[in-house]
Amino acid sequence: MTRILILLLLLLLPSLQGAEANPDSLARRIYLDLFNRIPEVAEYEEAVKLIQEKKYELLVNKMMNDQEYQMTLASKIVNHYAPPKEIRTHNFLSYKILEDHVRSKYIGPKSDFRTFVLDMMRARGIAAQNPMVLFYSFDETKELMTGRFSAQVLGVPMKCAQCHDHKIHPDIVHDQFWSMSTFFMGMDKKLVGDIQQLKKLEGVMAKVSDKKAKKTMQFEDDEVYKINQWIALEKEDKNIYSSLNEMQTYGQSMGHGVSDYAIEEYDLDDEDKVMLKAPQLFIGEYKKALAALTTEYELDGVKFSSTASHFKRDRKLSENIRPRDSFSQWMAYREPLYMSRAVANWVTNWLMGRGWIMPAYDTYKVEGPNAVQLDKLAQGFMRSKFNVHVLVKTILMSPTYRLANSIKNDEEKFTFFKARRLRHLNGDQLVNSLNRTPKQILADNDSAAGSGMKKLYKIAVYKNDLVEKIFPVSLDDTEASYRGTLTQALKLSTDKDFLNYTNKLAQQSYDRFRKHSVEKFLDYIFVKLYTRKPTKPEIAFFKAKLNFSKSFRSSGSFETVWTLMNSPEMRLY
Amino acid sequence: MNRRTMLKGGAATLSGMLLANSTLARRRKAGKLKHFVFVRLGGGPSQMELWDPKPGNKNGGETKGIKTKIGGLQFAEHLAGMAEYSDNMAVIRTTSRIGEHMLGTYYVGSGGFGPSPILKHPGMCSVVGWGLNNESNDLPPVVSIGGSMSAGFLGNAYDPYVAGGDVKLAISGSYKSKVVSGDNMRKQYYNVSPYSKADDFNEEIKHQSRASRLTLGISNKVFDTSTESEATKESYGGRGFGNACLTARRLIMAGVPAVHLQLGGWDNHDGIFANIGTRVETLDKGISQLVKDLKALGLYEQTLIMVAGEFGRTPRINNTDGRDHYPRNTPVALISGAIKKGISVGNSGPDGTKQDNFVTMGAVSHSVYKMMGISPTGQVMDMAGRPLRYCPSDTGINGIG
Repeated sequence: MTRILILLLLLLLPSLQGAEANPDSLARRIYLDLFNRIPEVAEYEEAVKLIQEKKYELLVNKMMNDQEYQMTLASKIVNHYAPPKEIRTHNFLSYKILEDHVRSKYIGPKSDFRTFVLDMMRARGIAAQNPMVLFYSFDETKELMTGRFSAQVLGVPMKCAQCHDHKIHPDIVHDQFWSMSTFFMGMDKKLVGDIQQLKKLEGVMAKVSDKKAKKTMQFEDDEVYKINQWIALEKEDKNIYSSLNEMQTYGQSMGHGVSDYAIEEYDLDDEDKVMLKAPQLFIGEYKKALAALTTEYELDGVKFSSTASHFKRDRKLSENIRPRDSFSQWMAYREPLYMSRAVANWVTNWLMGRGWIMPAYDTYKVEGPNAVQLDKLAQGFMRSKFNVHVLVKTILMSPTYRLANSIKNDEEKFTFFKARRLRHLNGDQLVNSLNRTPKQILADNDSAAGSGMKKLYKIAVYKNDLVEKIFPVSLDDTEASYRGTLTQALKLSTDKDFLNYTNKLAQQSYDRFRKHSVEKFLDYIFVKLYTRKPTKPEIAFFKAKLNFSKSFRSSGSFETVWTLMNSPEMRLY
Repeated sequence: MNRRTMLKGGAATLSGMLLANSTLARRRKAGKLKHFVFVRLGGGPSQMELWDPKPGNKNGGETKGIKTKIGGLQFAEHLAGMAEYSDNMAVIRTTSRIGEHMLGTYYVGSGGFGPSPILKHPGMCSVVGWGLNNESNDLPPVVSIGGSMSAGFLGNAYDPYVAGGDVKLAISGSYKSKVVSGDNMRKQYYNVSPYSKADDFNEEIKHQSRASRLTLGISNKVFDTSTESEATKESYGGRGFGNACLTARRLIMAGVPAVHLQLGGWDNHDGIFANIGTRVETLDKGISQLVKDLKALGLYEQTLIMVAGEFGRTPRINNTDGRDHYPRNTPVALISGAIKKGISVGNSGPDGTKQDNFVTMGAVSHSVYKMMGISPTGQVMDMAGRPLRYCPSDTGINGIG
């Protein structure tokens, strides 16, 4: 009966859905989703033209071939899988480096996403050598890691079963949580931020070099070589950054000093110098045999013990494989449907503002029409050999993605996605929109190799600062954080950087259009900020306020741009 | 009924959820306390150099003790100001196993929750701001001087407004007149915008209008301490933490429910005795003057000040004359005119290594919320109908709250 009902709902789905978004709205949406910013005026015109000519797919393909999309995707991947911002061990630039690593290695046109999951889950070594280590935090216990990875990678909120059998999914019992946490037991995480800590790491590596210990600790030979090389360079105060490229070096330094190079190149002030003290995280594994790992735990005064086993206990664990290797292979290769559903749900959450399933981290045993849609996406992802771009494109091409925005916050619509709720620009999107695009920065004509990237990083510092100003506490894409706030409104209307930007945009637009017409001025500003042309009432309203025969100061240009910048539409899409 | 059934549920469920999130549900009863000040001692302060000195014991080091008004309890020598009003203090020894800065900050700041991969807990200030928010006031419900935890699942309407030392909420001179006329234009434009019927548009307008009233009106004067006399500024200890305490007094006078302050420099792994005196004196001077002023203004009975760091420090002195992280004794002090008799909770023994009758941070936050008139066992519903608690403990501390 339930199946018939679901089938009926699926058949009815197209008729339940609302109207398609107009080209302006769709252009704004796709730029903010894929490039993390509002389109430039020329980009807007091209996008709208393609949509109007029924060449939307061409627009999608063009954008998905762009470096900016790849940067956004890498950033979304890192933000989804890395530890929450409040417990990240490194400064934010280290995570930019991680984004770059993910972009260059894991999201090529034919990349298999399982490789990423595998390398993330089994990451070991030192962050300077293997940025994937940054998907871990020095501070996290095995319990926290179990909760995080089970939710993020499997879409199963095991965390609840830490203290009691899961209340919503009673088949997830506490023993399973502790059993899974056992996979993280053998981890040896060290934070190497000063000379003393470096000496401690050297002690560990000396043991590794011992043949007996090496058998237990299971280091690969090249890992030992790389880490020893890194220690040797650090000890001589010639850190490894001299042999890495500029992007890899920036944002990283031992606690005992920031390189003169970084200070000179980036005009660092004292605050930056402190911020740049990004300690290295080292992860090793001191226990090899899964059979030897047992977790002891206590609940309500009763003592329990649990051994490592996978979430679905359908096969024996090999005793000759390292715990996290076994776990990551199981997650990515033996039970890929869990991982695929979780990926499909977070990608939907990124592109649609919410997952097919809410909460976004819990896709386990969910039922109903949304679950059927999610399964379809997950199956498609698997058929595509785990190509994340295919998944992204499937969503972008779906009628649901192209629905018109609803102006009412009606939660019921979520069940069928029959309308798109309005979303709020986050801090990154807003700040990106007010700066030059990464493409423009990269295209800067300096002759020195890599100078575009250098600027990109320098601007990343500036943007981060600005985002922190507008969104002074770390916000994520949860429902709770979507709402506009007094703090943001206060910062936007008082911050000198934003006022300067407003003034500059107003002045430049006034100079450019004063000899043409007020309409052209308004067209430009509206497209620039709202990704649409003004309506007739809006033209009439602003025409009454603007007077281009007067000087810039008295022309009403600043007030007009300030009004549009500080009206709600600026932060909606 | 599981949460997915609730998601699909009808009006009855929705109204239940709305009630759970309503102001009515927040306030257990009308409490006397109207203001909460959280003073975070960043780095993890040593209990032995604050409210639990062990003079004469090897572990006590060089720190001497002074008498207080709590029977048998001594404070460290540099807390002379606090000792004076210790009869309005609750000195609480809490215990945990979280000895890392970021995790400890989350644990203490959220009132006893550990970080979770599946949700963000609100900071204690945000819970108070949410519970006591008065929309008729232009000022934000939570102000943080120097940064603090977010409002987590309570929604960012209760995130702290983070003010740096020099923030005055005023628009710089050259832009002010332009922004005033821009603000007038914007009010008229709202009627023309095609989005004017959108729910989210109107929600944004609410914040933006409030921001304008605050930045362009008289309310922003509250952040401007330049009008205070030099003597007043000096009485708080001058710049930095002193100025933050002075701003806190002005914010309380203006009706802000929750204020977060911070004083760093407590991570004394080395040479603790050479450095700690100045730090403790800075704390003592700022808080004591705040208490003094609040008394004079008749606001002391309505204000609760909580002082805590992310953990305590080892009773034993290490090789470099410092103390290391020691969450097993995490000290908390509550100060308020509403506390009529000084109380000391827990006993660390003669050498500071015992944990007799220590409590958890959850018990502390339970008592704090109870004192503030906010139900400690209350819940809010998330979007999927999952009930979320903002206080982890069902019980508080005997004799407090």
